[in-house]
Amino acid sequence: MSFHLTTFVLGLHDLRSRFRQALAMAVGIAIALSIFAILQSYRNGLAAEFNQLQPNLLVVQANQSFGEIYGSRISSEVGKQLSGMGIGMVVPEIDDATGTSVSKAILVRGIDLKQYTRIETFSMVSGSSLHPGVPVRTAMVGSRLASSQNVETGGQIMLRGRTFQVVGIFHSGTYTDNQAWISLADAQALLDWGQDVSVYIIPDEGILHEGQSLSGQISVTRRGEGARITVYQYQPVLNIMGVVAFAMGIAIALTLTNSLWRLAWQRRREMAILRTIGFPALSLVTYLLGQAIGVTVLGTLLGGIFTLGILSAVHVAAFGLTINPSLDANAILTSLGWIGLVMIAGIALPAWWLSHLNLAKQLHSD
Amino acid sequence: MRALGYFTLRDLFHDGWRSLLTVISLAVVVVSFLLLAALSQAYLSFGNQTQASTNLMIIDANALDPMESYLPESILQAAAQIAPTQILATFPSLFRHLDIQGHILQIRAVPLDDMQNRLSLTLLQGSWPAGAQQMVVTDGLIQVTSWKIGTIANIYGKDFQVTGIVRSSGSQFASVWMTYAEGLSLFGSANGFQIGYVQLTPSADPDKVRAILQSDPRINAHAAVYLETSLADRYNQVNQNLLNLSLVQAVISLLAITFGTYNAIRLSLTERGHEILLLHILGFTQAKLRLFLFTRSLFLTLAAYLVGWGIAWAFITYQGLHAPISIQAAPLILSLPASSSLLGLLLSISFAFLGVWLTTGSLSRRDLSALQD
Repeated sequence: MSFHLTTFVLGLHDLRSRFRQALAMAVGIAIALSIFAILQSYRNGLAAEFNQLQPNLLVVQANQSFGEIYGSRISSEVGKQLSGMGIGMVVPEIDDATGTSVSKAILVRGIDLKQYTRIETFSMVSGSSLHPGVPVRTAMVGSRLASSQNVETGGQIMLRGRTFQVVGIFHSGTYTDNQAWISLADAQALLDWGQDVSVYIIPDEGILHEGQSLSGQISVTRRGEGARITVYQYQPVLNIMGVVAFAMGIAIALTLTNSLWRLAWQRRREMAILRTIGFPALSLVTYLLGQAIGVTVLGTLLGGIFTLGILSAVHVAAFGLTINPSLDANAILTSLGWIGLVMIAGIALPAWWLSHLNLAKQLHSD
Repeated sequence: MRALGYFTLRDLFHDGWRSLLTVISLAVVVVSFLLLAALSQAYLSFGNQTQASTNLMIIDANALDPMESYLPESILQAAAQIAPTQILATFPSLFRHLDIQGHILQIRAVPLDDMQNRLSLTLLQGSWPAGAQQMVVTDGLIQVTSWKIGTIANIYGKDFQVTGIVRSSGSQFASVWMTYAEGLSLFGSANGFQIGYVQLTPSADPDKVRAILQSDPRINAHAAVYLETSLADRYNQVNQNLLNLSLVQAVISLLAITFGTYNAIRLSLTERGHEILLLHILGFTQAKLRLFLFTRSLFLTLAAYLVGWGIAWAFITYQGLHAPISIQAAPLILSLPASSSLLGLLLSISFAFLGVWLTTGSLSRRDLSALQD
């Protein structure tokens, strides 16, 4: 054990004497780590906010639309038809995007004040939630929208040129944090839709099924599917970034291989001496491991700083939806696992070479 | 100079395995950079109009996506009355974004005569939609789906057959075009139409006519008038943030070249202290040594760039053929134009030079006697 500890410390000392080189390797690791971590954060964020299919709820909407975000408008007669089928709970909802440009869009949800708490999960950050009897033009605003619009409880928010009083700010942890919720009647008036709605939310109690079509123009889908479809378009882009992250990992593993191999080569004579005084062959691998861990720890710290800097500087938002990167424990552990793999790949070849080192030849080399 | 090249190449081949490892690691970085650059390029050209259109579009002023625009027939009559000498024709269009077979596509319906004669659509293959439940599709759509002439797709509950492939001289949106009558039978007429097209006379100034129409209360009470090209501009905004993210990552990936080069040269210098001292004694100045090291890095970078460019090109070609990308019905086309490739090469060389400069900068501060041990 003491042999391994000695060579491990020797490796670290050796690395310290070549600090600039260690720093260059660490920056390389930091680059690979930050590219991977950024990608992972966005993947996590997308999954957490947009890939939340709800198994117990169905959405009745205009056929082939993504009505939970925008783009569906159906008659209130559909609601009566659904009730006539014996469906226990029929919750109307309006979902739309308002604003003068794609970059300044605000998502609006018109909710049935009597029933919306049966289908929505959220907590209040401040103020109160909407309830039957609230005055007209009253809104509760998602936490992310409140932040981007700089709105507070008691303040006002402009929706399609009309002023709404903000009575509360809510947090759901999903894309609905980008929305402004107003009463269904307010939404119908705001959009000039009469009695039309975007979707009806119903329980999956076996009367209607996912994929079923009503009169060709109305279809039934799983709740959450609309949001998933909307952001699913970006999946191939993330896949390309995944290829880039993978390639950077390979590049850094090769750079580590090259550097550690040559650093060990420069110390081949000293290593041969260590072997002659009784150090086991595996302890030479520990020497490499010490250097690799030293470089990786430094690179991970730098990579963390890079990642946090980039994530806070670059925001991905469009159509009123902010794709919020989620650098949670899962993303951090996956990124550390990834960089650990890169490190192991980086020391594999030098370790193999060291374990096959010809002792006699090295002692004669100088 | 010839001796320099010869000496450098001999040196690189002498240390073949390490040179190969360096080339491979730099090549992989180059692949990363080129893929990100291709992605950035794709965002930049996303939804771009290849040719300016002189048509104007009237859309509900409150509609963010044209599919949410609801216009009455009277608005087109008003437009024709406001500028009768500058407007050649007006016609309505139904517009939807629908999720069809996993792709978000544009569904457009206009009168057949207008489709053929007023929208700069060129029939590439097949025929125009003549009968019921027929449609033509753009070549932009062909890029993102596996559809061809004869393909039957279910749209809003009805099966439609592809009768032809068209190309728009403007945008490359993935669009399905059907006759207005078919569109009405599909979507109904209760909510009017979505886009009012205004075709101008050849002598009319589109900006002036747009301003005249926009200032009339019969139009501006509910609608806004745009140049047809602005539809594409709306979609460009979607990807601005992604473009920024790609550019940041592309620059970061290039930094890896700097540090890769720095490491490779630093190792060489550490191992070859005696040789460098000998070169000094023989009269090689710091500048000449730097030139040698830069030439060495240049060869490595050029080799890596060539390999990396080939891999990136193969990946992009495969992606385009087998897994095309589209966002909001507009194809996101990855490509490696000469300008990007050249810029990438110049940046790679610059970053490699930076790596050499960083290494030799520290060397010049070193006492040469330290290299004698």
